[in-house]
Amino acid sequence: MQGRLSAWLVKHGLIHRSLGFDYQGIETLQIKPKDWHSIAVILYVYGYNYLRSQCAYDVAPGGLLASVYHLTRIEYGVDQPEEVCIKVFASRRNPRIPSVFWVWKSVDFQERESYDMLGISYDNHPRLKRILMPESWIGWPLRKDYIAPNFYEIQDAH
Amino acid sequence: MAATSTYMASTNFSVLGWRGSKRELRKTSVFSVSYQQAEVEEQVKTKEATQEKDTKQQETTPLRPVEPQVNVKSKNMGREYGGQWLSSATRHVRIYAAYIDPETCEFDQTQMDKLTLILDPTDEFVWTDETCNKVYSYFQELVDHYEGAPLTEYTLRLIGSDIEHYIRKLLYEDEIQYNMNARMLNFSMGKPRIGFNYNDGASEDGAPLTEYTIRLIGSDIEHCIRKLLYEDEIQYNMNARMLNFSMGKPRIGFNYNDGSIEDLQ
Repeated sequence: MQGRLSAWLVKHGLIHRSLGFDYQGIETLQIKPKDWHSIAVILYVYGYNYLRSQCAYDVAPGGLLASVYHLTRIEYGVDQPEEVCIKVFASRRNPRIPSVFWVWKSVDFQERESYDMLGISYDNHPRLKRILMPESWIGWPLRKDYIAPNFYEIQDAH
Repeated sequence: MAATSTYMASTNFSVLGWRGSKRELRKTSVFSVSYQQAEVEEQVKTKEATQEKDTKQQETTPLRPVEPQVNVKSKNMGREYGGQWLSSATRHVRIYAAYIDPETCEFDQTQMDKLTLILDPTDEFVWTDETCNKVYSYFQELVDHYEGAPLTEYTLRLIGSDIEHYIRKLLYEDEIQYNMNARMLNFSMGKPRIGFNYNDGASEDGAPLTEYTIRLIGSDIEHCIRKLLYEDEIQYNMNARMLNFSMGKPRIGFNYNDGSIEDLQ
């Protein structure tokens, strides 16, 4: 079963893998990290001008880390805009994914959060540093192998 | 512990400890771990050690206090320096990477090679010199242990948390007590319990003295009172302020013992 975007990408010889459709019938595609930046530019040119959300998760203990992008094509006079979900998987050892900040500026804080929580480093992000945790924090709190330090009480009031 | 150190600041990681208190005079127990000062301090240390008990000094890490400084001024506190400092602040342990003058409280942030520990500023516990020194020497031990680690908030927080856990251990082992005259009496490390032993998690004789046990006893007494009421040994007070018969409405001829109602006359 192939979605419209997948067929379009195949027609233009772009490498991807279809992951099926989610419960709302939105097409989900997997794209390799090294292709992601160029495909992001192509998708922007295709018409996906709105990045609805970006998030990341740890797929499995010892497995891959995933960065997820929900794209929407906003046009005048359309009440059911085209949507697509892109998943980019990176290895746990060296998780590097090209940043799409220069394509969709709204991904700025969300990629920083993904970096902060899961340690995915987004190449070419302008200010990739921790956003929720203190900057001197060690470890990536949302990874499945993270062990919380035995802190007595956390407060930054003083 | 770590004989070789790679981090510059940590070779001169120094420790300055004092316990803040508004009522008493401030004790200035000032330590250092810097190598140069350690030699200087050694003579003083040995004198003190001979004066006091030798046996206790051997168990704990000896304190290496920093020499008190004069004319300390607050430095690097302004907004142009970021307006913040390296610290780990929890209720009983405040650690600052700075020299703080114990008398004047001047906060010299240029001396980041020293760590100042302020122990229990809210006076939640009753401290003696001995227990203070235990905490100080544990602090010294931790600082030695973390030598070579980067001087960040995270490291300070690890040290501070370990000291807090140590203080809780002291409390559970009954070496320090809650200060009943403290401004806030909220028992932040757990309510005081009699007969509770931290080591085996149970009291020496029978049930632990917890709310649960007390409630068991109280409920038994309530049941006893109801039995007395049903056996007609006590009666409802008809002149009570609230007459709501909380143990059941008065019934004539009701016998609690067999649970049956006798024939009404």
